Amino acid sequence: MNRQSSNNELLPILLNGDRNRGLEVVNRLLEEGKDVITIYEGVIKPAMYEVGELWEEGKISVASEHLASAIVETLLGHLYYRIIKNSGTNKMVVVVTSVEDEVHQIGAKMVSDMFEIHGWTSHFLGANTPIDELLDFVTKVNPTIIGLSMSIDLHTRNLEKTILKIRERIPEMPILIGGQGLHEEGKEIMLKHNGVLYLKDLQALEKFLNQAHYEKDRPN
Amino acid sequence: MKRTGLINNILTNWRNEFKLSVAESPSIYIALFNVSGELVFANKTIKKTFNSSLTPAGNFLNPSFNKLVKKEAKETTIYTGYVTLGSYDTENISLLGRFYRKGDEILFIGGVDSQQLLEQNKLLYNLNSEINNLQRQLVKEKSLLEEANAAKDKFFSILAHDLKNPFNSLLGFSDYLIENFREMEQEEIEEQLTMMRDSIRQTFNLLEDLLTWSKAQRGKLNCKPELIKIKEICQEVRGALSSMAEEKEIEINLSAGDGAEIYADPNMLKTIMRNLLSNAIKFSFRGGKISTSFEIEGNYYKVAVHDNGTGISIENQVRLWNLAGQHTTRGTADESGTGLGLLICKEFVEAHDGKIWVESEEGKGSTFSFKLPLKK
Repeated sequence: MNRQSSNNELLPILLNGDRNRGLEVVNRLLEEGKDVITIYEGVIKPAMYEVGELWEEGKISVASEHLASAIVETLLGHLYYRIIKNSGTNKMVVVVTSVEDEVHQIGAKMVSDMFEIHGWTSHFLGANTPIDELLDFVTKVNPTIIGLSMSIDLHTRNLEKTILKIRERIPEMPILIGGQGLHEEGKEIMLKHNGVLYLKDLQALEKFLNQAHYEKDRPN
Repeated sequence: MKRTGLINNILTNWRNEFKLSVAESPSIYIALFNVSGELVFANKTIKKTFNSSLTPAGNFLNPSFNKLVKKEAKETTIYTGYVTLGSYDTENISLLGRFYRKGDEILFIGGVDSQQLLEQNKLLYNLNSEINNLQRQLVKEKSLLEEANAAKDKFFSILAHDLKNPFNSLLGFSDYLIENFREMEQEEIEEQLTMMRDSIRQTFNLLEDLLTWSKAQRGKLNCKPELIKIKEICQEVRGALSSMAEEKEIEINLSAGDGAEIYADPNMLKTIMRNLLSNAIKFSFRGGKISTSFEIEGNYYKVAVHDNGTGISIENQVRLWNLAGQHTTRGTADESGTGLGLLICKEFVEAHDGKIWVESEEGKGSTFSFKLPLKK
């Protein structure tokens, strides 16, 4: 488990399931001029990592972890109005999902939001997307990039299976991979497969999006 | 007797009863393993929880059995805290419990954290209430958005149609005059100019209404009530509408007592009265009668405008005050309108914290009433 220090202000709020206090914190950060990416990467993510660590250490139950996740999802929803303003302003499309059997989706949601902040149209498919359903959707939508998220390292096999199946169907499709479960193996998997890029955090994704030059003819 | 003494007493004197309660309790989870992970004993409760696709030891997700075996014991305790059963791919539960080790055996005893359950139950209930409230708020805001959207559509529709058309007539009249005024009789010129003026006045009124209504939509209405003599308002309004009423030979009874006063913003009140009366004229038949009444009713001053014209059907009455349902109807002499008049009346009355309503029967006539609070 990747240990990070957290902004402990949010942690007790998440553990207490205090949605309103969570919103107060987020609103205050916005008033202080913090952007969405800073709030995601610097505040919410460390707090959630710490929740995970507390569960691993047996200090909180899985129910508390689920509650914390539910509160975070509310906070993401609250921030969404800031995100959709730019959504779809460029022609690029991304499909973002957690791999099959992966039930965690908050990281993937944040990634999807980042794409939308940068003007992409993002199709967020949520957690535990079966591989075949993902392939059918991707074939229908024809995105510019696919983003795959993996929070638990036990799902590496499913991730690689997904990459191979995408390659079979759409050989040229660029794939981004990321998530807490890839901290040890992300680079290795990236090097194993063509057209796969591992981004270790949202800052790396932000850099990628700022530099991306994709020319894709899309029919109107 | 000390606490430990009491427990010993129970264990000694109530051994069988204790055994039965613990082993059969749906809240107590007991499992005994040897260090190689082989299950030696499990009570019914934990057996029911075990996922059959995993080994019994494999059901311990966090801490894992392998981790536990490596832990050092403090006396016999090797772990205290939350224990999660299940797997990452399936449902899992957390119990509060302890692992003990004696020689080659590892014992787990745990249970549901009932305090946490109660707290989370309460939290869930509160969250659920909040979600319901948010849902209602969303519905309300959706409705407001729809209204705002309809207002915007209405605005553009009026601009595109009702404001544009009079200019066509004005252009026509002025072109005709420019080409023909030398040959025209004075009376004819006067007639043309009168028609132009009437058209301009109508357009101007429309523009005023549009701007007023737009102000109301943006929340920029400034209501400044003062005590005003109703008689003066009536005289002004009668003057503005006399030619319209005379054209249809409609009798208007619009008078109030000399001393009668109302607490209202004068300009808003004039607009309300003018709109209600011009509507009454529009929907009255030739030779019809319009009457008004002014009276104090409780803490309000009530004004009513009654006509014996076409009346309004029940379905249309419902749509009168709703912008999204707005439509305009031509008058008995084919007079046109924008449908903004009543909406403006409503905005102005409500700016006074007043109320406006209609009572009507199709074919028999209508009474439009409004009441404004008396001066406190």
